[in-house]
Amino acid sequence: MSQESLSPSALATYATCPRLYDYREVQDVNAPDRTELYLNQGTIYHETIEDVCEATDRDDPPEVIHDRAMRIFDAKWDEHSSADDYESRAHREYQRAENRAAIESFFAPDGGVGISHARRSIATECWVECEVDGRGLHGKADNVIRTDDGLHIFDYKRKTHGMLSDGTAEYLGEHLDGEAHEPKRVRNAFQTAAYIEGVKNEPFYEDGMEVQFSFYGLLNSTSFESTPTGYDVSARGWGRETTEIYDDHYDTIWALIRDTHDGITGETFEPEPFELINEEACPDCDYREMCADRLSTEVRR
Amino acid sequence: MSDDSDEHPSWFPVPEEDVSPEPQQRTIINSDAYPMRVLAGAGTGKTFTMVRKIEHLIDEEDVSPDRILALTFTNNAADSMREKLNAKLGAAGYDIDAYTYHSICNEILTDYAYEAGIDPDFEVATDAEKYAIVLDVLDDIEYRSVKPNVYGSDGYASGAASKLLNFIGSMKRSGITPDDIDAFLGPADRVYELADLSERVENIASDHLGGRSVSSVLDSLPDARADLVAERDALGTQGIEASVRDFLDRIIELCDELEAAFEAHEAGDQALPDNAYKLPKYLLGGYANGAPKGIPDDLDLELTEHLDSFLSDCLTARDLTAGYAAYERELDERNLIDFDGLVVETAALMDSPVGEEIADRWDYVFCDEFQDTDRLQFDLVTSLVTDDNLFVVGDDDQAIYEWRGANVANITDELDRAFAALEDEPLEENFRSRQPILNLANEAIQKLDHRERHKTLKRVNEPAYDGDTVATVELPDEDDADGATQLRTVVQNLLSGAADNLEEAYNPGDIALLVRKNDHATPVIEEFEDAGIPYQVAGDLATESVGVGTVTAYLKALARPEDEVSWNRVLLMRYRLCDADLRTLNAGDDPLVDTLCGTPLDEFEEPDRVAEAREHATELLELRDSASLSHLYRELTDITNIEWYLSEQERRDLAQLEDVIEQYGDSAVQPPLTPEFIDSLEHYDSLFDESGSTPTSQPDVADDAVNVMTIHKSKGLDFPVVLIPQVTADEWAPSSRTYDALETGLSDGAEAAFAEDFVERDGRETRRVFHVGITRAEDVLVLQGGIEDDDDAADVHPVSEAVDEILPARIPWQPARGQLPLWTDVQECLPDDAADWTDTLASETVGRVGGTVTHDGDELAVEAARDRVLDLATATLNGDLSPGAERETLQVTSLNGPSTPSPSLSHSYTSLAAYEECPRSHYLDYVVNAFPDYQDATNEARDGVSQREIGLLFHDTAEQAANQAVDRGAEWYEICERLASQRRAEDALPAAKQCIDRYFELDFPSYELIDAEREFELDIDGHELVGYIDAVYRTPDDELLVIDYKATERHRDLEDDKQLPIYLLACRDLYDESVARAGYAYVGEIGPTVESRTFSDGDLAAVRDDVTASMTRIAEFSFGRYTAGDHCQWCQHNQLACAPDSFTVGPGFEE
Ligand code: SF4
Repeated sequence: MSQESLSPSALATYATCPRLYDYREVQDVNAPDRTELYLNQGTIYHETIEDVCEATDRDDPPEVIHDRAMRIFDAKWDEHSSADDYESRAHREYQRAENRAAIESFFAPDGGVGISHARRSIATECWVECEVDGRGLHGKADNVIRTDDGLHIFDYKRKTHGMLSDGTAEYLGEHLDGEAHEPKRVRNAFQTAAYIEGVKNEPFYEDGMEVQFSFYGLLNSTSFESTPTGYDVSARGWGRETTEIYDDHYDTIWALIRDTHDGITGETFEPEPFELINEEACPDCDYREMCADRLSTEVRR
Repeated sequence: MSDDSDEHPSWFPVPEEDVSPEPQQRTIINSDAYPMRVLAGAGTGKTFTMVRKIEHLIDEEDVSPDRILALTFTNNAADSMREKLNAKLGAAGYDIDAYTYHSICNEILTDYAYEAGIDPDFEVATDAEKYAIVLDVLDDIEYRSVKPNVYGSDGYASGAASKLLNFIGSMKRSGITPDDIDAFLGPADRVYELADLSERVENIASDHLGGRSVSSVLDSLPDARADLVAERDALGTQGIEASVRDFLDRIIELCDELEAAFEAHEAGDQALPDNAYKLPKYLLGGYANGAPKGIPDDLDLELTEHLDSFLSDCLTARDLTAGYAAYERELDERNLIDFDGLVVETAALMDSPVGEEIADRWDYVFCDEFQDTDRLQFDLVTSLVTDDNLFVVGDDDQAIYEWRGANVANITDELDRAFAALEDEPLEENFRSRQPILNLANEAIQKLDHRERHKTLKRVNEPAYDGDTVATVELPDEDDADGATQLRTVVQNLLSGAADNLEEAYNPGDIALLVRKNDHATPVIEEFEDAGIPYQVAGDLATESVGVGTVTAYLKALARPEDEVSWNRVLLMRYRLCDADLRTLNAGDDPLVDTLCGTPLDEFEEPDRVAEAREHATELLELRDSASLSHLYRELTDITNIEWYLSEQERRDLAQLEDVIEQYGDSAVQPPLTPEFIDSLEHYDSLFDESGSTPTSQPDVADDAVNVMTIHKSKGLDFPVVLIPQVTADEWAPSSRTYDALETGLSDGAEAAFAEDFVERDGRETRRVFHVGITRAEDVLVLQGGIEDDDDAADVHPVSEAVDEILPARIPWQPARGQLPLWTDVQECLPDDAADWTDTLASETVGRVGGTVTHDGDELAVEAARDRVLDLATATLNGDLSPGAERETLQVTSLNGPSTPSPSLSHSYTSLAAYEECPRSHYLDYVVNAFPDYQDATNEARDGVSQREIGLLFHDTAEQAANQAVDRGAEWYEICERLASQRRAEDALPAAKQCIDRYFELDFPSYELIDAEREFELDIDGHELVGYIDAVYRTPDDELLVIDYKATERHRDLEDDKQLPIYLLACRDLYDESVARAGYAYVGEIGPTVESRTFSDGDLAAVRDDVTASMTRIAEFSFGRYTAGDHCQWCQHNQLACAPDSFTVGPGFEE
């Protein structure tokens, strides 16, 4: 590949703020971690789905898949969740119940979407690479499914709220023009691009196949019901497909990728447009306490 | 302050001695009627009166001081009471038992630990300890309706730990134990059976009452009623069921009234508005989506909501009670008692057989701020009173802590009930505020219905004043306008004093911005920042302050060395490392600290800076585990000299962090810096937000900055100018509280849960908060507010009117409840001479604000000048400044500029001496309060012990010894040791003790001590000269002798001395007899010896003239003139070009 290959999340970091990329990726400044627990939970459901897909054959009965999933979940939970991450046993137990409910619903024998995801999976944790205009991208697709017309890639998440959608796709262009700050949705667009293009380089891709991409929020809706003896938790998930958005905004998305990519390789890390970034990104930035760009505006006051 | 008057400005605190009680006060002081209650309005001198009454008892009635118990809320108040009594009565004043409501409990429990069944070594739990326990007992909560999340997307605030902490707080303050709650609620099953009762009532309403006309609804009302009766009759008569039963009773009565009204309507006897037929279904919550068409939205009377929120609180309580019980067990196990627990335990003890013995310790009980007491404290007080000898002062109009559990009725009905013979005396004569302010306060508080007693505040001895007193500012029209710029302009005008509407220019410290809630302060503070107006926010951690952030980052980095963000912050902001060096440090896989310590210095572009950082970091990291947090912090500031890098505002901001550090850990030995401490800083805001606003804490007030605080915190304070922003119905609306019905049901009986409308109660409290805010003002009160569209309640909806008539007395909720048209009320109550500043002082500045600076021939406004300095500085840094070019040279003379208005000056002996030595140093240190030069931390201040520290330690020891009437060397030692450890000045201790030894070799210990650290203000030809006299003794020859202690090496020449004559001049005002002899007592190494002489009237007159001449000259202070010489070595600014070259290092200190 002619140039460095970058991941969508690295690009997204730069899109959030070039200085942030500098601190996090280039200088590798260690920021104290804030949400260990959600990271671990992500690992747990990702690995559960991966293992279920690996172990599942095309014609396994739904109950078998479901029971397998629950077994694997229990094992993964024990493996990855640590009591140290939680202030109380009760909190940990509640989080377990919530995640378990999500897996339960995903692999529900009567209509859980996960059943077909598992049966039709042809690759999980699939490393994909692509290059367009000399800019290399790479990433790891959670699950690639064989559909009647081609391939459908899934990226599993906790929730899909606030992500790229038909209604919000226009923000991509505004971000490109420096009129809006939309790093989350830009990130979703980068992921969509990397996976859709990347999967085409895989051996299982055949010319003419339709390639789709979706995010799937496993815990999109959760409910908490209180009873005299305790509480019940249930969860429900659904997907959000971004294939069409990718097609419709192809030029914008690739212009964004080019800009970002060139910024990184060219080592331009000035936070621009600063006012926008200062307003949108600085308040939640892990590096705000040390960032000379931000501090200099404060001091000047 | 105007400089032509001989008088103090009106707000100047007059020494107590000069004040003789006013008639109303005198009646109270001399009365021997007990029990007595004094309802005292704001600013009427209630504490003064109480102190005088105690004095009277001791002086005139021969009551022994230790038979008197005085209770108040804050430690400050207790201390100041003791001091005032001491000043008046001498040592006897210290024998009176002045306590806070909490510390008396601590005292009693320590003395009677055995009887109370507790370990006598118990400690009082700190906030941090309470929080730690709460985290430990989380698994004891029975999670059913409470979510087990400890933190959520919004941090800890909504998590289980905060819930439990709040719950315990609410319950414990009212003396409700976990057992009480268990008994009230019964088993979870039962609570869950009741939980959907409000829904069942709503269903009854929608099933039966959906008719489309009055007659059809009338027909079905009996069915609905019958269903409700059936629900009610299925309920038991205890606890929660009794509360719910009572609610249904009220609703059933409402059905009867509705039926009667509808019948009357059908019979043609009563008119009802359109849509009235919808009312029954609406009132009983039968409509799923709020008010139906025809019923006004703001009616806000879906009554089942009250039941619903009560039941949901009960569900929460059912879960949390087990956590509460576990918390109590844990406290016990750790031998801790929390703040509320002190009172609980003591009240229980007072109920036991020893109660009488304890109460017998005192003959009289005096209580201040009684309106803030909670139920437990009330019981405590009554149990301490013997023979009805109780004196209570307070102000029901200033009761603003109901939301924290205070029981306002304590000072009214409860007292009436407990003491049949209660005498009432009024205190309405105000000594603080101008009458127009009081008129507004009086009028506005009249709007309080249910007000128990009526007081009318009346100003006495009001000095003449020429200027606006009450001013209003209309908020701008735009929807989201906070009007902050208006207040910025107002403050600028107040500071310049140029406008005709103002009598004088005010100092920043004269002005207070008092807010209803913190949000109101934020935008105004930003404007202050912009305009360079100094301010101080009371009790705020100032986490947004850059300087505080850097200091905090240093602590974080030391606590968690792997936190590289904090290291970077420190390296950037304190050590000013350049980008390249920071990159070098961040490169590689090694932790940053290792790189910092291990990389050869020649790899850096600015090795000196890196070396300094390395040295400091190494030293502090080594110290970290062995030193206490406060000690480490002190070393941190000493070694790094970090404060020098902070602006004045940032140093002010830092004070609160320092307080938190000082108070961290309550045990004898303070723990070292830990990550937990850092975490506690992070939770500080979310978890203990309220702790800053208990009646038990009072903020320090800045005298050189605009004081910004909530009205709650301002209680008991006063300011010449008070600004209250955003007085609107919306912004002041009280927020609802959790558990109020439950708490009331638990403490006042199950049937009380629905007897009162809590929103209305909270609305009343809001009005009292407003009253407190208004009455803080002395000269000028500025109210900023506006009317929202929906709050002209001018036309009442006919349906509301009808409801008003129909609702039976037992339904406490009224139409449009909770509406608080504050601004409308203000308009109605405004005194005739109130001014509207909206288009004047709030919209533009009058005169030149802040003066000008001349630079390079341009006359620049201060802001423009500041920008220019910054630009020049940046250019210097970037090397863009072409040397030699005239234009870029910053003329020192230009610094002479900003002198309008001229800063108010008050002189002291030291400031005069400084002026004599060098006018420039005087200008810098006493006129403009300039920064000291950067001072290298490696000099004497760190290594050697500073003479100044030794001197201070000795002086303060002598002062405290005098106050406590302590006259033995060993006792002086004790005081000195305590002071040294408090201020972590142990280094200076040995030398200070030597001073004490020398002092005891002198004759003084056998003389009578008349005064110590006596403050004076001398007025000489309109100049103010202030200072302290170390000591005044009466010699065996019955002569008064003024003594100044010297712990230094320097010997003074008595012939040429001016300091002592100044003291003698001051003595003329202070003492009735004449004082002519004064001298120095040398207790430093050249002592012990005393040298004194008498000064004749001629001597004094000469010095007086001399000093007057100096002070007159100083009126033309300037930066321009200076005298260089030997004294430059002591000057804090000796790196200026004026000092001889040899003094390039930082200054030392002289006493
Ligand atoms: S603080 Fe702001 S400017 Fe600095 S890295 Fe973070 S987002 Fe970028």
